[in-house]
Formats: sequence, structure tokens, C-alpha cells
Amino acid sequence: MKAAVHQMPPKRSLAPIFWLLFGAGGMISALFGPALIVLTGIMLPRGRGLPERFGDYDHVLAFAHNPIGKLLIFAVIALFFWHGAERLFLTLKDMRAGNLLVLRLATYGVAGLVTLLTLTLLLEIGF
Amino acid sequence: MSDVMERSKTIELRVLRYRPVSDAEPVFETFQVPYSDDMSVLQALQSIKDSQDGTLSFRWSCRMAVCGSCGMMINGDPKLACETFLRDLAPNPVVIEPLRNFPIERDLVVTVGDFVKKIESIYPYIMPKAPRSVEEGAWLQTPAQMAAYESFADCINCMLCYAACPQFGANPHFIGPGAMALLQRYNSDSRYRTAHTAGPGVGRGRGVVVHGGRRLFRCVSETGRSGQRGQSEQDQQRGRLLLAPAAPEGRAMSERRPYLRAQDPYWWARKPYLGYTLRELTGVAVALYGAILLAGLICLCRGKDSFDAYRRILSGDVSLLVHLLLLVAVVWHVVTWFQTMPKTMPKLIVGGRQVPQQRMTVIGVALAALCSAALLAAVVMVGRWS
Repeated sequence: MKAAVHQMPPKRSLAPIFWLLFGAGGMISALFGPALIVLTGIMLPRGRGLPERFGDYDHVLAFAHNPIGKLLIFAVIALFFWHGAERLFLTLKDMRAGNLLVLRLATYGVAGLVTLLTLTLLLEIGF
Repeated sequence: MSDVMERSKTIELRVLRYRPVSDAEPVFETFQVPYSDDMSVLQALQSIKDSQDGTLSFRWSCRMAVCGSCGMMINGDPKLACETFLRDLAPNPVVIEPLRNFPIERDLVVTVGDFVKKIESIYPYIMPKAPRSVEEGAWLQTPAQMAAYESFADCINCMLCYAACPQFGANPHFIGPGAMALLQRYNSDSRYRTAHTAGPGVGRGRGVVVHGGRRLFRCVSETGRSGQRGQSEQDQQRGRLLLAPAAPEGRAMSERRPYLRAQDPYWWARKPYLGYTLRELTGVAVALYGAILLAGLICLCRGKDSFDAYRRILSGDVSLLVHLLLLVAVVWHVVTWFQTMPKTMPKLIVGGRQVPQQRMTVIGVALAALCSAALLAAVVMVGRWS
């Protein structure tokens, strides 16, 4: 019996993929999240510490045209959603908030859609 | 033994009783117990059994936090009764319940068969890399190799961590913290052959504690394994009182009817789990900030007018307030992220010693502060030059 258990091929789970996305989003938001919020949410719109034209349409568009800029925008938006999705799903599961399939669609599903949308927008906006 | 000091004070014990023969469900029973400052909760229970109700059932053996038999919920916390002292709980009444998340066999005695199966399922013994004869002598390990697994080997199987783990409470198939720590113990052992076989439940549910045992609850005795003393004759006689009352007609005293109490559906909103829930919800703040950026990208795609409208909303007071709240939540995320990180990774051994988790948290938070400051400084500098 024991030998049979040993020989069973291990059942692979998809969980590590979601853990990786969750962990990447968590680490990036932990390292740069506070600075990003201060920059885009407080300094830029209020014109504090930065030139006012810094947040202008042309400037931001140029940033989104740049391949490195695209990559940064994509990584931050998509990974932040995957991070939130993992934590919200497990918390809602703890709260027994509803059917697990519905909860998965409302969290991982949304993160997946946002990833596709962000990718599409960044391609559509041109280079 | 326990009468070194005079039992001059009295404490109230509210003990959850469950007698499968006569009780439909567990009920609390109150006892007044004379006590002295050197008495443990276990001694209080023994004194009830000696002089008030000989039918009170509970497990115990060593009385010195080595055997792991006397785990129970004391005022809602999983504790070993032998190392929980009445002087620390008095003058308030003490509420004593069997370990949470386990079926109750009788009074404070819970069913352990399922736990034992879980321990067995991870093959808790060394399967060496190569066969070794007695003549070849003992395996040798460096201090670093030993430090990698030693604390996991201290587990006394007291099951307190299972009582503390709401994920096990929600899903009894979850292999649980104790067996996972033991799994880690063999995986980290340099003598061990290969990655250890995981039971079917490993990785399911969210491990409240996977590594490093002591963080969420004190899982290992401070005293270590100092050897068990034999029970005194008097102690052995206590056990015989178990056989006291005659069973009602038609039902044997030995009849088993384990009672599993339902899990509190709002455990996540109560201490000590509330902090954990709040930590998890910081992930929502991170995603919300991502949503604000996404809205900006959508407006950027639609043209200048749309993007200018987005900027006007961002410069409003509501937006400022939202961003300040998000900032608070994300700073909390930073702190908790680096508090959790050392618990989810293998031990970091430097120079043969484990790096304390607290130090890793401090380094992580400092690194985050540095990264954020560097990003801010870089953008401000670029702003000045352009």
C-alpha cells in the first residue's frame, strides 16, 4: 500500500501560477506602492514637487508609447489586480460569501479580464 | 505535591462537559476550586476530579509541557493546561473547553485518530540517501545542517496549532500546520533522500502557519524534551475514578458518539484572526490603486479631452482623500508583507544560525522604504531636469 502511494505521480495543481502572480504583485506594491500612490495620486495632480506639465497628455502618452513604459504600466496594473484577486478570493472564501465558482470569477476572472484589457490598450495606443 | 502552598483562594472554572451517553450536546458546568498560586489549570481539573466530580474526563501525562496530552481551550485560546497557571487567570472565571476543530469524545477529550493519520501520511521518519551500516557509524551534520530542521523536530504533537487553525476548522481534509511543519522537518534534513512525499491535503486551504511554528501560537515547549517522569501511585489511582457511575439502561458507558461543534462562521472578524483578515484586505487597496491607473490608461487611449477630464477628477479633494486612504492601507501592506514573508520561506541560515524572522521583517521594510524613496527622488530629479 505504502509503495503504491509512493509511485503515484504527484497531482499538479495550478495554484503555484496564481501564487506567483500574487507574490509578484505583492512584492512590487510593497517596494514601490507607497511612492507610486504619492506620485500619481498626490504630487502629480496637485502639482507639488513636480512641474505641472509633467502629467500632461503628451508626456503620459509618450511614456505609454515607450516599450519600457508600456512594460511598467502593464506589470503594475495587471500584477496589482492579481495580488488583490488572490487575497480577496481567499478572504471571501473564509467569509463563506458565496459559491466558489462565482467568487473565482469575481476575483481571478476580473484580474484576467483586466490583464487582457491592459494589454489591448497598450498595443492600441501605438508605439 | 501541589499542597506546598496553602489553597487559600477560590477560582471559578466553567468546564464544557459532554457525556455521550446522557448529553445531547455539550453543556457548561461550573466548579468552585480552592487554589494556590503555584497551581496550573491541569491541577485545578485534577482537584475537581479528586473531590467534586470523579467523572470529569481529560487527557494528561507529564505535567511539564513535554508530552502534549493536555491541550485544551482556556479562555478561548489553545493552551497546555499544565503550563497555564491559575494565578495568571484569577480572579476572573476560567472557561475551559476541549480543543477547537476536533470532535469531542467526552468532556475535554477529543478524537485524535484523524490527526494521527495525517502525521502518518507524510511518512514521518528518515529515508536516507544511501543505506548505511552500523559499522559506518552515525550520520554527521554541520550545525547549519541541523539548524535547518531542528526547531521543526521539537513538535510534541499537542494539536494546539490545529485548534488555532481556522482553515483546518473549515476543511477537515486540510493536512494542517503540525503535519506540514513535520513535512518541512524531513525536507530540510540533509540526511534525507529526496523531497518528502506530501499527503493529498498539502497546499489546500491557506496555511495560517506553515513554517517556524512559534509565530502565531507557541507550539513547542520551552522546556524541551527533558524526559518524562513516571506517574506516582496516587496519580494512577485518579485514573480509576473514571469508572464511577453506572450507565443508564441499554447504553454502554463505552458507547462512542463524538460531537463536532460547528465552526463560528464569523471567526475571521474576531480576535486573533481580525488582524489577519485586515492584512488580506490590503490586497483590495492594491487592486483599487491598479484600477485608478487602468482608468487613466483608458482615458489616455480615448484622447486628450478624456485624459484631461481624468486629471481634473484626480486633482479633486475626493481623489486626494481616496489616495491618502490607499496610502495608509498600502503602508500596512508593506509592514505585514515583510512580517509574513519570512514565515512562508525556508529558514535563512547564515553562519550556521537561523536569521531571526524579526530581523528579516526590519530589513524588508527598510528595503521598501529605500525603494520608494529612490523612486520618488528619481522622478523629482527627472522633473527638475526636463
